[in-house]
Amino acid sequence: MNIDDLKSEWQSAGQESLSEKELAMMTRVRNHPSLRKLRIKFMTEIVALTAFLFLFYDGLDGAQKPLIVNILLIISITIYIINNALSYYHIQNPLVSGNFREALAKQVHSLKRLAVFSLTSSVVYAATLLLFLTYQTAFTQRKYIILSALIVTFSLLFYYSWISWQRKITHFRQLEADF
Amino acid sequence: MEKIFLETIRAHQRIIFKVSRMYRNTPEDQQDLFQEIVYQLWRAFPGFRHESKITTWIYRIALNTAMAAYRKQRPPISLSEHPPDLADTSDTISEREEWLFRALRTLSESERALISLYLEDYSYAEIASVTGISENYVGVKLNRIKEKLKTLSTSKN
Repeated sequence: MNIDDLKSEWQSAGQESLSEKELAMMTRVRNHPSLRKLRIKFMTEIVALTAFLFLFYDGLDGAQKPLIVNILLIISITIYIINNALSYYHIQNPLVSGNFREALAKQVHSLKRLAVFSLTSSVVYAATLLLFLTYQTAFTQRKYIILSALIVTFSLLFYYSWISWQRKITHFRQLEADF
Repeated sequence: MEKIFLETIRAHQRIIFKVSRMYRNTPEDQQDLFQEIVYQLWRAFPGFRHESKITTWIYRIALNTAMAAYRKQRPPISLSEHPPDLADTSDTISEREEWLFRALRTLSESERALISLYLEDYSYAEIASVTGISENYVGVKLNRIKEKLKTLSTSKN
């Protein structure tokens, strides 16, 4: 078989069935297959974290903790919210301009930065939250066990998150190398 | 601007169908990718400076979008599920077309991008410009891809 014979199949393939109205609907985030769900998820998280920011001082006895612990918690939550917004922006705006090698190289670079920022913000947020909740706590053996279990759980989550980021980065690095 | 964009995409929607079909296995996934490509084209449209053909611009964004969407590795597609026989002259066009897309989906993502531009009759220089590799290397890569496709078509005969 001559591969050039397949050109006519390729060039005549596809349909021209969608109207301008249907195509117009596809340009809106609210009709996007994944962005709409992601936006709802991110907005819910941001609203919940912002509400927590306003309520933790009274609800979790912030007044009884040192000022620095309160400030650290506020900073870590703010960083976490910024990370959520950056992640959404990255997914909404993949690097699709320029030639393929350039776009893939930028994608790898962007993913590396995002991975570091995302993991750092998560670790800082979890550590600060634990510090805030356990500050001035009179530890018993049972409380130590609970704290240890929480630390192990968080560590495992961060590890799997790191593996997941690495998998993505390796995929795009390999794709770039394939060209 | 929206009117011009929609007229342009409507006239060239075949390209998006083909890229979606080449990069995704199921009709649902193909539909999702189609929508993602239209969305990315719309976002990129204000930056289109008419320095290249509109079809080249659409291919560039569509293929970049298809490759930029990271998906977990799935089991490779097999051509052994009794695909239509290309050597048989009684094949209908749709059967040959179906075989073509199934064969293309066995290639790597970068190979799919290259061969689609080749099948669309782009010159080596144009393919080199879109992909960012040299013309010579385009030739080398395309020869390898053609060999793979040839092997696929003969292995089932």
